[in-house]
Amino acid sequence: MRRLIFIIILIFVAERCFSHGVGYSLIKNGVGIKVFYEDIEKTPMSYSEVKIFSPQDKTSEFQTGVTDKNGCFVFLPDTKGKWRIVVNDGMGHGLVKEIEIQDNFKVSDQQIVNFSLWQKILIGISIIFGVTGILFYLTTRRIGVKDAHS
Amino acid sequence: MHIPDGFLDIKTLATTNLISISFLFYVSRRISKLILPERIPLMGIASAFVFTIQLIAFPVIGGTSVHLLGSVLISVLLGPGSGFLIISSALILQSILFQHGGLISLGANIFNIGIIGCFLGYLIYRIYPSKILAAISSFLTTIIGAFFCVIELYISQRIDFKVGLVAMLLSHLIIGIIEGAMTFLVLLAIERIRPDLLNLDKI
Repeated sequence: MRRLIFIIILIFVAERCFSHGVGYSLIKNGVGIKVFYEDIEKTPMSYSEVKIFSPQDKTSEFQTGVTDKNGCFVFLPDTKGKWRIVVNDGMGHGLVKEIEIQDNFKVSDQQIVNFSLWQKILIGISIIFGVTGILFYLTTRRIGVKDAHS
Repeated sequence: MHIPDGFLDIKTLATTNLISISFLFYVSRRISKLILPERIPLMGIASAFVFTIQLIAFPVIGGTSVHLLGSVLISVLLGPGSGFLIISSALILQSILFQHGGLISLGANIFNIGIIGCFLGYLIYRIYPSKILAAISSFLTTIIGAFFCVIELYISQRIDFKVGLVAMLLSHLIIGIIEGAMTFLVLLAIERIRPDLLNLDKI
């Protein structure tokens, strides 16, 4: 009799154990973002708050979390469209980026365009000199016309 | 100190944009009446200088990064109005080209760096115009600008006030000292090489 009761209890406990088991599967896809300060060392924005908003719901977060030590964060989009990523380091720096997720749930390579610091400086200085050159030309021309009339 | 888009709430955005647009409108009108053509290339060079030093950021303790501003230096050389226009144009360009600071939050960035840096910085400098006071003014306006940045982010519920304040003030304390030293050294170099540049009209 004791043996029977023991077997029943064992079966019952084993059944409970199986019902609380946790399965898993490895995810090979996902969209990752690496956030860094645009300083001379490209310091990673470590442990910064991240909020992900899906194309369907732009107010409630699809996912929240923090970047890792290297400033990386990965999420798994479940639909195509424009996803919004908001990163905040809580110290006045942050990033708000919209990325287009394609049918295969991946980001198109065309969106990943980063200028180097020197390219940025060169582009900026070229535009500034171009604009001031045009302004200088227009101002001197206006004065020249005024002088010719007087 | 370049606040990106999506970080400030509507009332903070509206207030800072209104103040900055009013300043831009008034200063642009005033300068367009007073400016001489010879001054335009000089303002272009100053804009390129500000654009460049604001893009080059340095990592500091605490895992964040900071950059120089150049507001007081430019205002001491060309005047607060010219300085403000130069800083604003550099900020607009950085925002449009490289998303270095948001387009909608431009008003807040112009307020923190341009208005405080140029006008308040120049007022402090005018108490006793000297290289030392220009350096002190650079330091103070860097700290005050960072303080206003914290207030704007706190009002918009983006940061915890104490944590944000300590982090921002500590990081900007370092850059404030570097900014002050840069202002002093550049003014010293100009005094020795081209002293005539220190006597330009302060528009």
